[in-house]
Amino acid sequence: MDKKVVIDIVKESLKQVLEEPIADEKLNNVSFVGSESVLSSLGLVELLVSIQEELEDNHNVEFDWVNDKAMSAKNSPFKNINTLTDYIIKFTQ
Amino acid sequence: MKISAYGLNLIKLNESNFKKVRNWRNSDHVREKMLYTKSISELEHINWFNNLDKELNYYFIINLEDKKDIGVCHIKNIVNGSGEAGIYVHDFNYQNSDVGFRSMIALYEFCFDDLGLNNIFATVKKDNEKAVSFNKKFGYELDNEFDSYYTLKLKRDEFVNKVSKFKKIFNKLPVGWEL
Repeated sequence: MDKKVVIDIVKESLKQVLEEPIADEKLNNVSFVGSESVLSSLGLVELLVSIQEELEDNHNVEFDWVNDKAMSAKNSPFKNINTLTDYIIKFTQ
Repeated sequence: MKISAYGLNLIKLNESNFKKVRNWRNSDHVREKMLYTKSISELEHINWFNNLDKELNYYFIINLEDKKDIGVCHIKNIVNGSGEAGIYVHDFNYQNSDVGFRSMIALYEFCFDDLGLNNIFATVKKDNEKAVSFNKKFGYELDNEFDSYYTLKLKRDEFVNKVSKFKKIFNKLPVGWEL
């Protein structure tokens, strides 16, 4: 999938699950883990579900976050927008 | 009785464990979310438990796999295939985590699959936007509106449809997951 398309999907999904809105230009720098995280653990699961639904419903991509590749990765794909985007692109290649 | 699912246990309130939940229920941050906001005395609590019809009212302590008890969830007033659900998490460390959501999925599956309920209702204060949002994630829809609160209604099919992808992720990731 095209990287820009994936980034847009991730950003739009993130906007849907954020409790407090964040300006577009700041979204690239937000973290999903640790003390600086903009998401609760439930919020992060919601984000993953939202992205998965968008990929499956509107981009004809069968997607599964909880495969062994994602769970065992040394560098977690769930840290921020960039790591999520890279993981999706890799998964869909 | 114990329900174990999604990385936690729901332990039914019984003679030996019911007393400890009174302090949790009386804590300020829990009471302020309730319709009944007064503090509950020990005698009131004992009377409440002794008079509870245990076949029509199921109260569970939410117990993590590390044995920590972090809150209570329930289905009560079961009649004609319907019941009223609720939850509180008294432990601050888990108030914004996925524990509440996991607990209620486990509870609702018990309600629909084991108790055979058709509808579940929830009562939420109007100013508790977090709770309204939380309930909608399960598929609850507005049932009725009163001066200070809403009643919401959940049907089995809506619930199954809404939570299927969450369940898959919860089955793999630990409670309150840290990455």
